[in-house]
Amino acid sequence: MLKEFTRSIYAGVSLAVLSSAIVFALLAPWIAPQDPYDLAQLFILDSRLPPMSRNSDGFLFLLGTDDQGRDVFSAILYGLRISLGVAFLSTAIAFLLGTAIGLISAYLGGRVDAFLMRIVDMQLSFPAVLIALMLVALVGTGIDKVIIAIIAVQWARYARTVRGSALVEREREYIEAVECLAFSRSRIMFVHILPNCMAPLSILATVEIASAISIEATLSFLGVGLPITQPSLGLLIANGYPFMLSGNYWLSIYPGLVLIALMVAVNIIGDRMRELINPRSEK
Amino acid sequence: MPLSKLRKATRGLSAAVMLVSCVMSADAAADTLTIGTRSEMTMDPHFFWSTPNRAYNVHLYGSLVRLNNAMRTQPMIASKWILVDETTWDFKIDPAARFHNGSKVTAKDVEASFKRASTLENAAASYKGALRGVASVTAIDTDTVRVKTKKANPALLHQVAQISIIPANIAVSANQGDFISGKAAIGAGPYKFVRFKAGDRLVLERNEAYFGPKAKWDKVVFRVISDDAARVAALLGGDVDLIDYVPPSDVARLKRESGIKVFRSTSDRTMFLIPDVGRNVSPFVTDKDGESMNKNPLQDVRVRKAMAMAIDRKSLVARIMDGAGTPANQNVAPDVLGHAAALPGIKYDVSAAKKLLAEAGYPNGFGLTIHCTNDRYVNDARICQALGQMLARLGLKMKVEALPKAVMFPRIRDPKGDRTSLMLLSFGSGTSGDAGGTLTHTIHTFDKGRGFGTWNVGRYSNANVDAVIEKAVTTLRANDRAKLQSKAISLAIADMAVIPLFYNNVIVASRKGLSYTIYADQSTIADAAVPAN
Amino acid sequence: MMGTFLLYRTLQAFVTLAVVSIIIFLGVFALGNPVYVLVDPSAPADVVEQTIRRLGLDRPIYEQYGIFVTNALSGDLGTSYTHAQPSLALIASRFTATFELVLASLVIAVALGLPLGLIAGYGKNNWVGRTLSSVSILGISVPIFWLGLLMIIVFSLELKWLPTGGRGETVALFGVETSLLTLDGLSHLVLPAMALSLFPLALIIRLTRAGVREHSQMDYVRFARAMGIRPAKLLFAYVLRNVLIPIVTMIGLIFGTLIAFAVVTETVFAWPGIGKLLIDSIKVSDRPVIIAYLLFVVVMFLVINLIVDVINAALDPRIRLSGTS
Repeated sequence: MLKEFTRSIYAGVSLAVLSSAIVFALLAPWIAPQDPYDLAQLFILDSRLPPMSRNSDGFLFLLGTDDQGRDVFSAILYGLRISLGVAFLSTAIAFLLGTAIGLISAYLGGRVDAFLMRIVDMQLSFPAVLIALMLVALVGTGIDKVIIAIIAVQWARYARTVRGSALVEREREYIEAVECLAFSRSRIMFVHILPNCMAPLSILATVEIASAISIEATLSFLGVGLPITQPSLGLLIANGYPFMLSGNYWLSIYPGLVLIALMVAVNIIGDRMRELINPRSEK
Repeated sequence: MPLSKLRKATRGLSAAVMLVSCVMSADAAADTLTIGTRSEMTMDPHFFWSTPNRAYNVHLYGSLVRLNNAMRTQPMIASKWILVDETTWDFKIDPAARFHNGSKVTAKDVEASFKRASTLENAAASYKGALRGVASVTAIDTDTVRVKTKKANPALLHQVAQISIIPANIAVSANQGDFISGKAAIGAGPYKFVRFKAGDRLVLERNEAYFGPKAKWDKVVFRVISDDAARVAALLGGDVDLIDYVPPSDVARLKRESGIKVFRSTSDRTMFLIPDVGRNVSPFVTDKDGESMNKNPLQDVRVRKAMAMAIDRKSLVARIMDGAGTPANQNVAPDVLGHAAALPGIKYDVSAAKKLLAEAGYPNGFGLTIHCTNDRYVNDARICQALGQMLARLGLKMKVEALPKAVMFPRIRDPKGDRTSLMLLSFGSGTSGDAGGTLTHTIHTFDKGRGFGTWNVGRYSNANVDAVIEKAVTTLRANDRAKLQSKAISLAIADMAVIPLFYNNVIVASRKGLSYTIYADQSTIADAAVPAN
Repeated sequence: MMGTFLLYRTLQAFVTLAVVSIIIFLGVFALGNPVYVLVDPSAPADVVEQTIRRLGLDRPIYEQYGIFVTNALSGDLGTSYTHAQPSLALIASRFTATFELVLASLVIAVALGLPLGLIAGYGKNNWVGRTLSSVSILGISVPIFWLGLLMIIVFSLELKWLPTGGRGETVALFGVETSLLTLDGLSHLVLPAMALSLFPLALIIRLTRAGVREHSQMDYVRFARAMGIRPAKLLFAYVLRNVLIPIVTMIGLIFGTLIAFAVVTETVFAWPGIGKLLIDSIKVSDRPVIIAYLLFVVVMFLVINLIVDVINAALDPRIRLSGTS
C-alpha cells in the first residue's frame, strides 16, 4: 500500500512533509530551544529581533523573535501541535457528524430530510466569529472552544454535500437491488451509498482542513480565538499581521510558509488516497 | 525582499493594468482633504455619544463652546458666558451665528437641542451621560441660554461642548433617517453636509457663510477604514491624505517614507492596572499550584507596591508601544489639570520588589490572572502579555486573559458580574476637563446611587480620598481644584489603589506638505490639518 | 407538484426563522448588557441604569423576546444602537456592496475554476492536474486577512496597480448603487474579489477535476467515445452535465460561505458591506444589528438552498423534490 502510495513522487514528498511535521510537533518540548508558553522565559527586550540574531545571553534566535521576545522557531514547533490538533480533530468530528446527518437526511427523505436540512440552513448562517464570541462570553477562551466553533460551522457543509450526492445515488439501480435483498437501512446507507459519495466529500474534507486552520487564525485575529500566550501557527500569523507593513516580516512569514507546506501536503495526500481508494477512479 | 524582483518581472504587465486603474482618486483635488479614519460616524448628532462622533459633529453642527487641541474651552456658538451664581451659567449666543439654512441661531434652538440630546428614544449611549449634574437648560431671551447645575460644577463648559446645536424645528420633527439623507443635517458648524455613505464615507464642504474663522478646506472626505494596517496602507498608497490612530509599530516605517509625515503628541489618557482590593477572596487569585486561596494578597499594599516595582515601564513603552508613551507614576496625565507634579517616579527594581513580596508573606508568589481587552486600547493585549512576563519574573504564576470589550465591559460593569482580580484600564479627562473624571470614576469608593466609582473595578475605598475628591468636584476655582485633585492622587498612589503604567500618545500621519495639530482626546479634526510651509 | 413544494418550504422557513431568533437571542443575551459596552466611560451610573430600563434591557429574557417578536411581526427588528437607523434598513443598504463582492468572487471562481478543473481532469497529462490542484490550495492555506494585506502590499503599494481599499465610485442602476459599472468601482473591486475567490476557486477546480476523472471512466463515456463522439463534445455535453451536480450544490453552499468569509475580507479592504457591519456590531454589542443580520442571512440561505434543490432536480430527473411525499 505504502509502496503504491509513494509511486507518485508528489505524494511521497507530501507524506514525508506531513509525517515530519507530526514528529516535530510531538517532540516540540524536547527539540525547541525555548518554551514559548512560559512567560517567565520571555523578555520584551528581545522582541522583534530579525532571524539569526542573538540576545545578550548569546541565545540564537534562528527565525527571529515575535513582539513579546518569543523565539519564532520554538513557537512554530509548539504551534504545529495546536494547529495540527485543531485542524484534524475539528475536521474529523465535523466530517463524521456532517456525513452521518447528510446520509440519514438523503436516505430517509421526507420530514426527517426537511427537518435536518433546515437545521443545516440555520447553521450555515451563523458565522464562526459569532459562535466563538458567544462561547468566549459563556465559558472563556480556550482551544476546545475554538474547535467547537469550527465544527459548528463545518459540519453543515458536509451534511449538505453528502446529501446532494446521496440523493443521486439513492435512485440508482444497485440501491434498488440491495433494497430487494432486505439489507438494513444503516447498512445500505453506510456500506453502499456512502462510498459512492466519497469523491466530493473527501475533496471537501481536504479543503476544510486548510480552512479550519484559517478559521482558527481568523478567530484569533478577531480576538476570540486561542489564548494569546499559547500561539498556534494561525495565532502567530495573526500576531504578526500588524507588523507586516513595518518590515518585521519574519513574525508571520515563517509560520505562514510552514502552514502552506503543510496544507499542500495534506491535499496531495488526500488526492492520492482518493485515487487509490475510490472504486471508480483510475488506478 | 522578493518584492523588487517581482516588480521587475511584472513591469511589462503593469502598463496594461495602469490603463484600467487610472481613475483612482477623483477626490484628490488640491483643496480637498481626504481623511482615513478609524471610526464610523453616527449621523444623528444626538444619538450616540462618543469622542469620534463628537469630532464629526463639531464640523457640521457646532456647540455652545468647543474644545481646542489641549482640551481647553473656546467660544463657538456662545460668544461669552457669565457665572451668575455658583450654580447658574448664562451663555450669550453670538449674534452672527447662522445655521446652514441661513436662519439665526437662537436660544430656543439651543434649548431644543439640549432637550433632544438628553431625551432621544432608543439612544443606548445617550448624550444625557455628558450632562451629569446639569439641572436645566432654558432660553431666557432670544440670545441668552441659562444653564442651572445641581451643585457648583466646574466641568460644565466641557459638558456643554458635547452637545450639537440644531434648529429647534428640526430638533422637534427630524427622525434619524433625515440626518443620514442629509435633509436634517443642518447645523451651525464650519462645514456643510454633502453626502454620507454608510460604512464608507462622509463628505463635507466648506460653509461659506460660517460666522467664525473660515474653514480651511473646500471639501473634506472622511473615509472609514477601521483596520489599522489597511488605514496605514491607504496612506502609503496615496489613497488618503491623512490617517488617525496610527499604530505605533508602523511609525518607524512611515518616518522612513519621504512622502509621509508623522505627528505625535501627548494625549489626556493614562494606562494603569486595577488590582482587586475590595474582596477578601478574589476569583482569579490562586496559590502557586492553582488552588484557590482563602485570602487575597492584593489587599496587602506591600504586594501592590512590589507589583508596581516589578514593571519595567521604560521597556514597556519602548518595545510594546514603540516609544508612543511616557512612563507614569500616577493615573492622571501631565497635561491634565490636577496632575500631581511632585510625586516621585516608581522605581523598577525586581530584587527589591521580591523582597517586599516576601515581607508581605509571599516569598514564593501566588497565581494571578491579568485581564485585558483586545480591541479597546492601542496594543492592549500586547501590553497585557508583556506585563504577564514582568510579573512572572517577580515570582507570580501569571495567566493572561485577553477578551473583546463586548465581553469584558459587561463583566466588570454589570453589578452582577464577577469582575477581575487584576485588569488593564485606560482613562482620559473626558467631560471633566481635569483629573476629576479619572478620580470620581476609578478612585472614589463605588457608590452606585451617587454615581461615584463607576469604573472602580478593584473597589478601592478610602474615606479621606473620597472627601478630597468630592470637594474638588464642586470647587469652581481651577487652582484650588487642581490642588485638591493632586492631593487625592498622591493619597491614592501611596495606597497603590491603581498601578500606573504609562501616559499615552496620539499619533496622526499625513502625506508630505501638511501640518497637523494633535487633539489630546484623539478627535480627528479636518481644520487641524493645514498646508505646511 | 412544484406549488405544494414551495408552500411547504415557505412554512418550514418560518419555523426555521423562529428557532434562529430564539437561539440568537439567547446568544446575544449571554454576551451581557450592551449598554455597558456602548456608553462613554464618563457617563454617570444613574444615566446608564436609566438607559438600560428605557431600552427594556433589565427585563427577563422571555419578556425581551416577546417584545422583539411583537415588533418583528410589524417589520421592526429594532434600531441600531450605534448607527441610529433601523437595523434591517441598515443591512439592506449595505448588502449591495457585499452582494457585489461575493458575486464577483463567485464569477472569478467559476470562470477560472471550471475550465481549469476540466483541463486538470481530462486526458492523461496528470501532472497538469496535480499541479493545478496543489497550487489552488496555496491560496486557502493561509488566513485571508494576512493574504489580503500581502496582496495590498504587492499590488497596491509596490506595483501601484490598484487602490488599497474602499469601495469606488458607484452609479445607481434601477435604484441600486453598484460599483460594477464604473472603472473606478471595478478597480476597487478587483483585489477584495480576488482574495475572496481563492477558497471557492480551489474547491471548484478540485471538484471539477475529480468529477471529470471519475466520469471519464464510466461506461457511458467509454461507449460514447467508442461511438466516435468528439472529445470536446463529450466533455461539455455529457461529462460536464453530470459533474455539475455536486458543484451546483457546492456553489449554493459557497455563496453563503462567502458571505460569512466576507466578514474578514471586508475589514481588511475597508469594503462597506454587511460583513464589516457585523464585525463592528459584534465589537460594540449592537444587538439589533446582530440579530437582524442573522435573520437576514438565514432567509438568504433558505432561498439559496431552495434554488439549489430546484436546479439539481432539473439537472437530474432522478432526484425527487423532497417534502412533497
